[in-house]
Amino acid sequence: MATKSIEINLPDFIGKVFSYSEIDSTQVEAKRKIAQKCPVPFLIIAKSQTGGLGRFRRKWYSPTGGIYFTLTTKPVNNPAISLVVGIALVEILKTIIPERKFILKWPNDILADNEKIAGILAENFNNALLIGIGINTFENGKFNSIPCDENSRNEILLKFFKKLDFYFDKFDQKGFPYFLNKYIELTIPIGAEIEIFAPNEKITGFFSGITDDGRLILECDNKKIKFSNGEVSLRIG
Amino acid sequence: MNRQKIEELIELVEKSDIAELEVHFFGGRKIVIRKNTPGGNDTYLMNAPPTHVQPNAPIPQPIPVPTHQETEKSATSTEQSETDNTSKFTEIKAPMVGTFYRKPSPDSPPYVNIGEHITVGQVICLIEAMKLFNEVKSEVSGTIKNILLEDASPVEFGQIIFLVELD
Repeated sequence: MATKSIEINLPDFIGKVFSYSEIDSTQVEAKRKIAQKCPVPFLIIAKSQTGGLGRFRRKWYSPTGGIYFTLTTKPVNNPAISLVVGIALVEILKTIIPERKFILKWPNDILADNEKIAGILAENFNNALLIGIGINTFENGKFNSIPCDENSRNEILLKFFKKLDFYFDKFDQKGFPYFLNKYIELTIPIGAEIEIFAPNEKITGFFSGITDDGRLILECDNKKIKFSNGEVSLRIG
Repeated sequence: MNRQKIEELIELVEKSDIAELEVHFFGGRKIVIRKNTPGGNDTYLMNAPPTHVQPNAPIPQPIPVPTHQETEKSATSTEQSETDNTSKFTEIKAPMVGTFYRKPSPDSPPYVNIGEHITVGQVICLIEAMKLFNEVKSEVSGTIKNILLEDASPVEFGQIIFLVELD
């Protein structure tokens, strides 16, 4: 059974905070709250998840020591919001843990020294936007994780939400073009060889940039192909 | 394939003994021409090619779909068809570009199936773009008569996904 366990003062814009020592999934709990007519915005945060979910219900390993939360706010139809959340998170992680090399992999996976350490899943559900985030942080740095203690975890949360508040306003006012250069600075280098697993196919080519609405541009056989979906795999070697 | 070619195919079907002709094109697009038989309809279905999504690219011109009247003219010119219900169906189109999903997760049952009744506001599919999953809700009440896309297929803005017979 979930119990209240995390006490931190977060910015007002995130609304009510529901915190748990253990829960099945913060994303699932957010949906339950919405179904119960819980007013938006609110935050579900947990110290561990027994059924943490990634994209398409893939299991997200969520033992104690990581950071797991779902922010529930007003719906956003522009899918580039997904990239903006990634920018905010990487910028904060870079500041707090400068010894690791962070990369934002399109659209919003976060790698530390080429290992995925954070995932973001956004869903428009019942007139609310759910932003679910899992960050692998452990004090002893085991698994694919960022070593950090309780204080650092709270610092990540506080700074991330403050930045997100600011970026949400900018996104409302200026859209993704405001963030394009930031994104390019944080993502893989232009010209890197990548594979993209799009629905029904896999294509290899060279990363050629991001459109001003957030799509990935792949150069393949002297043609530029724009993707709004797909999983990018870096070819390192 | 242009309209003239389609009309030639219709003529071919009409003059032959076959009841139905299904033509697949490179890239996954297909056309089905079904002869108007008692209890049956002339139906033209087109599936979008399962290629990668290129929203900025010019949206390919859809293959001209013969209207109900044109269908009668070319394929059943000598009889009045009162059984063709296709034109009665309401189209539900994709509100955005992305990937179409029939199910909330791989292990879940589809939101809707052919033959099922839907109501206004009911979630009927998901469309994912850049890892943002959007629920698509029906703006009509009626019965699902056809689903024109496979699960996890790319979808373009405005592409027809469902055909619904309104209440």
